[in-house]
Amino acid sequence: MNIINIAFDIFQYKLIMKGMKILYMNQTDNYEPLVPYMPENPVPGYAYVPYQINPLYFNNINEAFVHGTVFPELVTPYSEFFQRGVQS
Amino acid sequence: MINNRYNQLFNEESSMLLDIQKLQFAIYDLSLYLDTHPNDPVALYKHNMLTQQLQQLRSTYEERFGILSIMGNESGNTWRYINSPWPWER
Repeated sequence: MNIINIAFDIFQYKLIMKGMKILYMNQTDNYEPLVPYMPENPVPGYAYVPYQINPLYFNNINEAFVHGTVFPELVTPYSEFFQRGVQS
Repeated sequence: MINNRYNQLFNEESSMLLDIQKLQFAIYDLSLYLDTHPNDPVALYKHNMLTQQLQQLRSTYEERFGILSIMGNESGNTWRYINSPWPWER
């Protein structure tokens, strides 16, 4: 165990003593989301927002600026709805 | 001639300001994501990368055109902060 690991353990211990939540960071650096994509037991009639997991990013910052988000999956093409009209 | 130079400088300043706004927007959006995904290494990397870019761009802008906010460090001989138009003059 090197000095960095010892320092990290002391840091975590101090956080626990303060009652703070420790964020899970695996030693292998594999990203594990803090919460599941959806609840394990979803209740019918309740609204849930799916959690973003490993999202894609716009490479071009100009494109992100135009779309209003850095995540392509969050781009909601409202203009298409206006073009084709509201379906009854 | 002077007008052309002024227009060129004004365009450069505007385009740099727009770039700063774009970077600030992307950093803000990433920080919102990081609030709910604090251990996502990709988002953290992108956030750090954009923050560094913003820092460089801000320092370049402030050297050339004056500070962006009163918390900045004026590198010129005069207080250039008052040169920028007031919000109601834009």
